[in-house]
Amino acid sequence: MEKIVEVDFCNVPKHLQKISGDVFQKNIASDNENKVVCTLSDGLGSGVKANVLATLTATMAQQFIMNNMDVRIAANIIRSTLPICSIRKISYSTFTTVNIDSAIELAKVIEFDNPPYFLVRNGKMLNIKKKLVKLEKQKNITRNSLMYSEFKVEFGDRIILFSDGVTQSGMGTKRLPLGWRLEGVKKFILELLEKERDISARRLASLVLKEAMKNDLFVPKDDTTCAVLYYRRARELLVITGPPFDKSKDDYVVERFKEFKGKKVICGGTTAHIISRKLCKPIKINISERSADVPPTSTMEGAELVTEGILTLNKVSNLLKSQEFKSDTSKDGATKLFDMLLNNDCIHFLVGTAVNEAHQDPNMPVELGLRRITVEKIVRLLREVYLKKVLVEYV
Amino acid sequence: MVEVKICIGTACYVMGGANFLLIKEKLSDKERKKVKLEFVPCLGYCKSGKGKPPFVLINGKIYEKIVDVDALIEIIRENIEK
Ligand code: FES
Repeated sequence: MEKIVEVDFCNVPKHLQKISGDVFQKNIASDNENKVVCTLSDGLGSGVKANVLATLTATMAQQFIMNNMDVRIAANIIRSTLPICSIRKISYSTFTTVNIDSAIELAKVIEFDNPPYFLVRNGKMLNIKKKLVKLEKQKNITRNSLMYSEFKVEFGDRIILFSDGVTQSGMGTKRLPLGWRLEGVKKFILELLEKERDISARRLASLVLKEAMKNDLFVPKDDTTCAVLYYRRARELLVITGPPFDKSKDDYVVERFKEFKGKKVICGGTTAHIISRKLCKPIKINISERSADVPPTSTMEGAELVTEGILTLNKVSNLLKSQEFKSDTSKDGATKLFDMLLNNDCIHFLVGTAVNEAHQDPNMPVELGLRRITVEKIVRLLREVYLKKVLVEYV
Repeated sequence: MVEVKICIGTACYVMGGANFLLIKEKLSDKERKKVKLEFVPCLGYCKSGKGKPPFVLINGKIYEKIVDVDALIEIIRENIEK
């Protein structure tokens, strides 16, 4: 069984700010694909300045930790790079960096002034022993220490990070005069996990954020972020698109479809037709689905989703690129496929390379392009931006 | 009964077939009873080089390059009268 660390986050900037002063970054170490590193940094203040500082902090932390630098040295460099607030004598951003090596199931966390992270195991909050690490005294800086913790991760563990925008949400309101506070956040998360044991990192982060927004009566008083790392069984998805170059490979494609254990998507009318014919499973088009730019999806037993080919893939590629998550409003083949790609971890593409000449007609009102090129774009985005494991096979 | 298979494969869809999804609303109740409408994936004609999309198959006969819904309704009506 393949296990992975699902990482996702949700963020809203302070009311009236266009950009957030909280920054979340995640990377996979270049020398170890089992090592996930992520940082949540909160820049002092809000707006562009806070964003720049937080980005600077997160980027440095990510690079140092990925390259196995000693935490003390890393923290010192970050502290001396950042400007210091002349009035409050504190450095301009706080951060938490988590790295998990799933091969040895070890997590290491560095905390510099952010609210403490939560570790939830089997529905309970665990108290992890933290080490206070003294840092070199620096002129004009009052904060001279960070917290370091290390623990064995277990299957099903969730590590939850948030900025103080979450814990302080609701502050000053009648209901929560002192804000949501750690206790409130903890209670909310545990109750939610009680109801939804398998909740994804993405959904958990977004629900925590929604609640924080509600506390602030939807006028967030600070940049607000929640990030979740969830160590769980990898979800596998097979996307079959395009008929094989050589017709004799049709059987192979059908076989792969039949044998695959995870969820399956067919992307392309002709491809669906081949599979449907060989397996004697009828295809039904969902005509009630109306979308301006993508033909309706179909239903076929055994497949989670059957969509049209190139128009859908082009739209998916654009959605992935724009990183817009508005997909729950209008659902068409592309937004459905987009959701499925994001909700799965190991994605296998089986790409047929037969070229449909009808699509290359210069009279077409839209540029359809080549399937292979579009798939390559999607694969690159999934790997680099969404940190998915992607396998591609051409037939 | 007039059997209508409307292709909503990629080539047909971009060449105007997208509009055919609205056809049901444009037929009268009486006509609707006489027509068996079906939307189908690529019929394969676009690749054969015979004719131009969008294609619609009516009672087994292929019609090509149907400019809009009204033109399609026209053809369907002709077939009803036959
Ligand atoms: S797309 Fe309609 S015949 Fe091919």
